[in-house]
Amino acid sequence: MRQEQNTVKKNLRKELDLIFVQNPVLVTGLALAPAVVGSFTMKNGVGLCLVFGMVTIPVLVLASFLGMLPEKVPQYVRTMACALLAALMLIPARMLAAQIAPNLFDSLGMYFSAVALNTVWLVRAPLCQEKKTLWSLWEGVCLTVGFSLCVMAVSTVRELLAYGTLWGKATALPLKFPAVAYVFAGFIVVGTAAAVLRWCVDRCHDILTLIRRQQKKWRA
Amino acid sequence: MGTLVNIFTLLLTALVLENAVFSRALDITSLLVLPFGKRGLRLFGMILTGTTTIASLIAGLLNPLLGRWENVQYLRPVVYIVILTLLYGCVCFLLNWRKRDWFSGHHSMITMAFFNCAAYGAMALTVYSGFSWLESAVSGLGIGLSFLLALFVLEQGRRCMSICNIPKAFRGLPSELVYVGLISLSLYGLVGHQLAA
Repeated sequence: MRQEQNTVKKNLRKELDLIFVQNPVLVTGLALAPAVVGSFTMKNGVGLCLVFGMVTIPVLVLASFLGMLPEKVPQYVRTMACALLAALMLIPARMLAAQIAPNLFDSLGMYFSAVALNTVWLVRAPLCQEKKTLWSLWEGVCLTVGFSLCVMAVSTVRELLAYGTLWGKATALPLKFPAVAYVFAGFIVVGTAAAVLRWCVDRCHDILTLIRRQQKKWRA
Repeated sequence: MGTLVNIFTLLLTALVLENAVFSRALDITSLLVLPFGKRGLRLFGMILTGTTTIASLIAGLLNPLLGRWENVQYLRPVVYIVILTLLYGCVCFLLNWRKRDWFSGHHSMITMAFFNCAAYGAMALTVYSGFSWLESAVSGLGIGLSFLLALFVLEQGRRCMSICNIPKAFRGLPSELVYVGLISLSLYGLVGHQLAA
């Protein structure tokens, strides 16, 4: 019983790592295109997160179901099934996005739909085939939270610097750098965010190691 | 002659001014992260070129038919992804049937070449730019070749960065992203922007 609990705890921690320590965009480098190009306003960021979640979570759950199929079914057929589901999920995602902001689809252009073919589910789906459905669902949620944190942080910074606004409302920032909305600035901002996250994770790791060492000393 | 000049201009634009990687970030993940190695990435680039060319040719041929549909903007992305999926299925079936050993070694590479932003982006761009079928095919070819060009540029960048003393937090993906950003910025300069008076 205790062993089972430990395994569940370990798995939970592993999946939670997908939010910060193994962030799908900033650490693993997956789904970079929408994060770099599309995230220049907060509304765009929310739209991207919405599509990402609506595509990735069902696809990973489907992948875990596909894992129950006999081994005779080739891997490429399973990938095709996942891709078809991802394509179909774009229709409800687009309807929901229209509720948030009517021009969201036009503002994101092809990147709205390109999220359906993100590398996150492409890489994680084969791994989810060996997992139980609930764990796949949890993984999908963690990946979505990780992606959303990255995209929202990047889009907030870019909107503030490029237009001096937050969610379309003016702020007190007197300077504007319209070029930050361009693709090259997207690369630089995402790269810098990746470096900042790595620095933070390293510092946290150092602090934890120090605390553990001190605890050992006190026990001794 | 006019068509040839048009094709050459389109190819040059897709390669340099509107490079798929530097100006649209299409397939940047494959370029920066995938563990295929140098040779593997070149092969991947060639497979991707074939995929983008065929996909955009099909999109160029289908666009006039799709334009007749009502609410086409809702369904177009779905149709494009379904086409990509069917193409992927056909290629995998044929390779699995004819060249099973090669296919088992390169399966993940083929999957990545079909399901990425570049293949879908090549199809979507045919609509945004209003291309004919020939222009669509050339644009698709240009997108694939631009990936190979970006690969070459990034290889040089990696070589230079390997002898630099980069701060620990920036090593790897962050520094490569900043490097790609700077190349992208230089291409924006090539396109030309008016200076403020």
